[in-house]
Amino acid sequence: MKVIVRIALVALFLCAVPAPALAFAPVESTGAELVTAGSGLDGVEVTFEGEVISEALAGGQGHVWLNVLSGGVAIGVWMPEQMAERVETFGMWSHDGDIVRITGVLNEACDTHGGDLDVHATGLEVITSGTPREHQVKYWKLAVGLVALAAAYVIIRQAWRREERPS
Amino acid sequence: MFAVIYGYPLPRMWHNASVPASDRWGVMRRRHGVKTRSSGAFRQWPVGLLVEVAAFLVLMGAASLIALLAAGMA
Amino acid sequence: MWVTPEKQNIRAILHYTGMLVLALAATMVIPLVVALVSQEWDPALDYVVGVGVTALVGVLLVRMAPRGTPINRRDGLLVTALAWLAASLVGAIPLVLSGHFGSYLDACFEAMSGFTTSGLVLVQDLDHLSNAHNVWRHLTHLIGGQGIVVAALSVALGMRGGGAMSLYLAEGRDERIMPNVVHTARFIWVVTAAYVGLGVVLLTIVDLSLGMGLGRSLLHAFCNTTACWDTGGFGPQSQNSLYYHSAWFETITVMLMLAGTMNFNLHAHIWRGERVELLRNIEARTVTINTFILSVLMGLGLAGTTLYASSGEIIRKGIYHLISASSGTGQQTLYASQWTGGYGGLALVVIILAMAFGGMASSTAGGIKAFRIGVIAKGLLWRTRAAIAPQSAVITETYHHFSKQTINYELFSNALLVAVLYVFTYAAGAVAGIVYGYPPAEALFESISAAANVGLSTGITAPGMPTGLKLIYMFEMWAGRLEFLALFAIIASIVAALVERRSHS
Repeated sequence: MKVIVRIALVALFLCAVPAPALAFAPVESTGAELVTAGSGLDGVEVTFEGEVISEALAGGQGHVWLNVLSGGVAIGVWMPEQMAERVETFGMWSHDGDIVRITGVLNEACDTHGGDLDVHATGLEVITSGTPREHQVKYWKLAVGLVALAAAYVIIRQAWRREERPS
Repeated sequence: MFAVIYGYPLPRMWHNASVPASDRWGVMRRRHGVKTRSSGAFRQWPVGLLVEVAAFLVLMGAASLIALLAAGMA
Repeated sequence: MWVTPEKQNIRAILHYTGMLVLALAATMVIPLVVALVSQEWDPALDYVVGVGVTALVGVLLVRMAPRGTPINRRDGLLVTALAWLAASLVGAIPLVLSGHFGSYLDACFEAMSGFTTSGLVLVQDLDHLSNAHNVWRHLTHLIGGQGIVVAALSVALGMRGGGAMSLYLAEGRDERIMPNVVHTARFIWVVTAAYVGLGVVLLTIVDLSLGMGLGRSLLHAFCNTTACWDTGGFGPQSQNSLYYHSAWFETITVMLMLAGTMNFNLHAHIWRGERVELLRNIEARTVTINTFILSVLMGLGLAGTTLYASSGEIIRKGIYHLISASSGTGQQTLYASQWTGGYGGLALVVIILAMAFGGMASSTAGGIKAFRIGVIAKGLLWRTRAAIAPQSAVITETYHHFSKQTINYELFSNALLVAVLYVFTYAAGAVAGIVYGYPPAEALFESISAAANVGLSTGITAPGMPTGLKLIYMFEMWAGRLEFLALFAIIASIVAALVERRSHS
């Protein structure tokens, strides 16, 4: 009887020992899905890929905001400064930014950030580095513009001369 | 470009009002007691700007307070 | 009796429209300079084409009539109505060349949205748009907000007279702010310079503190200042105001929105030292009462949601959007689907009402306007008092609008008429949206946003939108900005001219 009680007590004690919980895998998503209201992903750890755009903005408490364009929608991702330092190229007119994979918790209305929809990142991985964007200069535009301007000048001069001439 | 366009005779007025255009403003002034000092607005502009900004802050603050009070009641 | 425009009048109308188009061609030099400074060579060429083609179109219109052609009030109305349309057509030229628009119609929509200070967007890949094109988009707010007409007038040396005044009045500005219309136009520019200056300085400081470089800070500050002061609603990034995640940014922009929704005549009185007008003026009172009532409802509405019930959220998502909607700005810190999603219910209704009522008259705000709401409220009071008073009693109801004025039938009915026209337009646009298959709440929201020149969007306005709906919203934005009168004038003139031609042939 005492043996059974001891075994039971040991078993009870073992139950109290903290053990690693089963980690649910982050939900694969896209920017477009994350900003859809009622996606059911509020408070859920998600992962998505996108292009980092514009710049890193100060986010307070040693954190920064990275804006990630994914599925045609840009989302603000809040992360520690060191995590953001891995990003080198930001997307704008002249460049395509780094493609990154963000893992973090989605907040449909973040209480820390005044109700903004954001992702608090737990992981960032740079997939592809950014490249400069090609913008071929189309010289026909210069021709069209200058010809039109010249034509405008000629027409107005002619019209005013006709006005001044006594008819 | 502007010199080219705007160096030309003024458009003549066309109106069928009985009051000559030159005194239209005078009529309005007498009818409505409208003050017409136009230079005053330019001279006092910093004060006016500050007064308006203060008014906006008061409005924003009051609206926020009212919303919070209403929410607290809910 | 319909007075139809004769051939000479049509030529005069086209002549003055052409002058405004020429002025627009000159303003396109600004984004051209921005492109050159930013070393954006291909966008620079877009603006070379823009300047050239716009100048050509302008010249072809101007030569329709000789310089100094007289123009009367009726024709002034038609010029104003045409000016917005012409501006959208030529303003779209550099935009469509940027490659960020699905079609020329999309670019025209964007230009119309810019000039009417609405703020609905069809631009694609906004985060990769060049500085030059972004500056042009926001410049359309500045130009349209100050009034294309007013802009041209203030530059024109000594363009005095009935013609100039009628163009000014036709813009829906019925305030004589200064003795002289040129002084009025110049005062509007002084106020603009002061607020744009203040906004740019403050927002540059905010942007710098957020870690943006000096060039980008100035660019963003300029864009956001014009978007808020001119109650437009464009933004330099696709996330609009949400990009910054900054309470300071939101506070400063809300102040600019309130400044932008204020009647210019009220600005003039306060700047002249007559500060008590702020307390007595019917519009100031209407806006204040309206805002407070809607704030109560907003507080109740958001408190009932699961997402936005904290105090910070009520202010930053509730009051912020309330003022954005009421002033007709349309800056948004929510994603499109969130309006009917987590926000929904009473809070959504508050935003819809705020958009529908609008800001003050003689400002860049849209909607029915505070002056009319105030007059209607006073008018109802007047008729109610008259109804319960004895037959022989004479009831008067007064209000203060820079001077003591009395409510009469003409005033009351004019206010009601325009209010009804707005509501009809809101409803018609909503029905169109529903017919195209969109949900009713979103369709109503979007229709009011277009007609009241607000710019908040539930997502209906997108490049994939049906073409018919694009045209309908463009028409609504145009009609709302003109406050219907000028628009009806142009439609009536065209119809009457066609009918007359048919009866003669």
